[in-house]
Amino acid sequence: MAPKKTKKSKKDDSMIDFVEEEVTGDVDEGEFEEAEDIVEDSDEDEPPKKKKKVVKKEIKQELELTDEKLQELLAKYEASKTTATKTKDDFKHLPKSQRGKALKKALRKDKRARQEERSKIRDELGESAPQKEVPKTIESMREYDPTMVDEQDDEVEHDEANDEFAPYFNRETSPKVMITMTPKAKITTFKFCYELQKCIPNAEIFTRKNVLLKTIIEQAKEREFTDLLVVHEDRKKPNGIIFCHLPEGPTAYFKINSLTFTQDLKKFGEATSHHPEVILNNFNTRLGHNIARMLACLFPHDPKFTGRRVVTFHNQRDYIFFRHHRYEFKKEGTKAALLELGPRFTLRLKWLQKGTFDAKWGEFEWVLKRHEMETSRRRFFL
Amino acid sequence: MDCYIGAATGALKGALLKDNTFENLNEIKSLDPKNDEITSMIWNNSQQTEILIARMNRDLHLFDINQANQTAILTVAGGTGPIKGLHKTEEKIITCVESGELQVWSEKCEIISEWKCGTGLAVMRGSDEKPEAVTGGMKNLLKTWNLETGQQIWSSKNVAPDMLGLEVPIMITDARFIPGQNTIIEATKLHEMRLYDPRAQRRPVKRISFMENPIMCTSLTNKANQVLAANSIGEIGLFDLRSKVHPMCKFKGQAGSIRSISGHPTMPLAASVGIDRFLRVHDLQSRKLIHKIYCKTRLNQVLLRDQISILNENKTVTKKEIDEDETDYGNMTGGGYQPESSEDEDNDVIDNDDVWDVIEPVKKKKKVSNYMAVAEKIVGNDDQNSPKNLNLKKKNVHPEENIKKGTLTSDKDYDNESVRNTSVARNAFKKKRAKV
Repeated sequence: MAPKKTKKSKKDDSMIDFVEEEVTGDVDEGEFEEAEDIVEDSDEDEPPKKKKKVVKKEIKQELELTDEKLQELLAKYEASKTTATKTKDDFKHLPKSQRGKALKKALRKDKRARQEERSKIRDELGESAPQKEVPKTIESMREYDPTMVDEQDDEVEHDEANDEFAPYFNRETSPKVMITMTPKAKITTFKFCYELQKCIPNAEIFTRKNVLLKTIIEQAKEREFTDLLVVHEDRKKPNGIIFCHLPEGPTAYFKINSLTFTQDLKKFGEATSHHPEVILNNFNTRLGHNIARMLACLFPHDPKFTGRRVVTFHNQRDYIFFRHHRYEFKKEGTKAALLELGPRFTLRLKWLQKGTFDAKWGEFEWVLKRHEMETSRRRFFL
Repeated sequence: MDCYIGAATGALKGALLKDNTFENLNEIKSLDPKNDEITSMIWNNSQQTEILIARMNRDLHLFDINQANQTAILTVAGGTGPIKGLHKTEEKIITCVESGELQVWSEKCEIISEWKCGTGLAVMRGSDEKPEAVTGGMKNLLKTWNLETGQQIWSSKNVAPDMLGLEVPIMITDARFIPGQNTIIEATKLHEMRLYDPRAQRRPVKRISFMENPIMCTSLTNKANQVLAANSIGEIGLFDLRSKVHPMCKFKGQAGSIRSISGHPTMPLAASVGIDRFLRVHDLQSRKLIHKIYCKTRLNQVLLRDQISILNENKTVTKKEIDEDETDYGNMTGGGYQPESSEDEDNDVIDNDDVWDVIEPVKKKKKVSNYMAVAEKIVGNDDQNSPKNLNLKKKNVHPEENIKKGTLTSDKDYDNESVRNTSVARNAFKKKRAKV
């Protein structure tokens, strides 16, 4: 929630273009709030501002603690973690239809109170405070996947060195992308294609004009295109994208979710023509690796760092979040400010096919079978 | 090792099911997938100590399991495309490439004979019983060849045009002889399996459709009439070639196309590999997934050994089950399905003579006519007469007449009539009461 607050405060002085954010890794996780709902709140996620206070108080109180008091405080700390003060019996005076709501509200309030209590105890304890628990999220409790790629795996390395994307990574080919759409595409689809063209350097848009996809692929191969993007639409809105690597495949189909055009963003900038940097986050399984390599193939090899332009594909729970930013380092490189440039959308992989597009006779490397494969909420494939 | 797997990178892998692990049997780093991809793999001898491996660059390698070394024996020349089929008879090796050149090699790797079986070949498989091979492919109908003379024995005929009168495309992906039956099973991209009987006709004797995606491979199982097939999105089906219900069961959980299945000849087990990079072993009886091993690369071929490490422990149990099943089948095919044999009935009758005496007169009566008997009974009842039956007495005339005409079908109708009469009487009674 931290970045949003700063946004509002900065809006008043409109001279500043950038929104300040803390740098955590490559891109702030706070940006991707859409999929971030925590399973069991372990009461440990407090806003970062409080951390600083803790540090200051620690020094003062270190000397004052005795053993007895310490034990007492620790016991109190543990107790405040588990016991809720309100139960459903407290609301018997209310009519039945209101009890649940009231209980929920009370519990939430209670939780906050206990959280504050604990933070106070932490302040008192100082250095000897117990360690904060890692929040239990769906991701952190992810089911074991044997295909998770190790860093030092000769066989996977050998496999990747010889796959369809190897020529790009060996710098033998440079990307040339063709963007097309469904026949008789409507205006939003065209708009989306132009937005894509803005993000991907060296991309050309062609109207489909009722040409078969297989013949398009043949012609694209002749003209030495390396990738083909086909935007599908439903009810006049883009809903899917076929991503075909040329000349040998593979082909992937993504569903497009929660698309926001640049114009609809609260604050946006103009994209420059510099080659962007590409960030691919959390593609850990073998399938995820393949998809990441595929996405990387869209962009030219050497990013122009002077442009400070970055395209992000962030995978979270099998949804790939696409973002397009310009960044600026602030405060001698300790902080980075981000300005969003391009469209926002989310991709979800539906199938991956070996070879170029051939939905009827082709061989599928991976297909999402909804009820067969989704055995658990904590099972992810990318 | 229980399973030998040929990968698309050219690696030969051995999987040990007991430990759920696999091992590479050749050096990986020196492999070049464009030349070394394993396209076809068979056992070289019946003891299963040697494997014949065909590679993308059409080299044939012999892998010795005991010594774990690989030797190149020959390179197929002529024609184009990779080796699509391998077969080994006692002294000969038969290879077939995509463009249709079928070659018979002697033990010393010299060509004995060569002939063409048509372009676009997708599969060539030999028979274990006869010196025959079956070929088929894209726009290439199923044919059987005599391997000694090189002559075509039989060729299939495409199925009849579809409902629009259009020709059905020929897209064969796999074909197999079914041992002991002289029949051939064929898998097509049109998500259909076809069973041919060369003795009977050129068109298929049976067509089995399976799901909606192209069928990629088939396999035999431990039972002669059961066949496994898998399609391009990883659905595996178990089929009984005699039944009308297809498939018998479907194995779920595979993410990608299955390239090869290998059934165990005596146990209800089948190993399958595909481009989703997993080796899976299914139990065909309990229909459960027993083993799932991640093998890191796309897998093309699998061979399951007869002697498997996991079977030594529960060998006795599984064998018994199979025996029982087979005897069941024997009964069914021998005399057809009979709920109870006639001899048993006779025995019962002899034991209970009294019962027999009681039953006989009833049977005689039934033979005359059911309705007549009922009618007689009713008349009999009327003789005894009671005031309640007065209504019925009048109606009695009707049923007898109707029976003769054949309009009334059962004595139930008669009962209904009597019921109606009583209800009419009751209504009249109610009306009277109302008036009062």
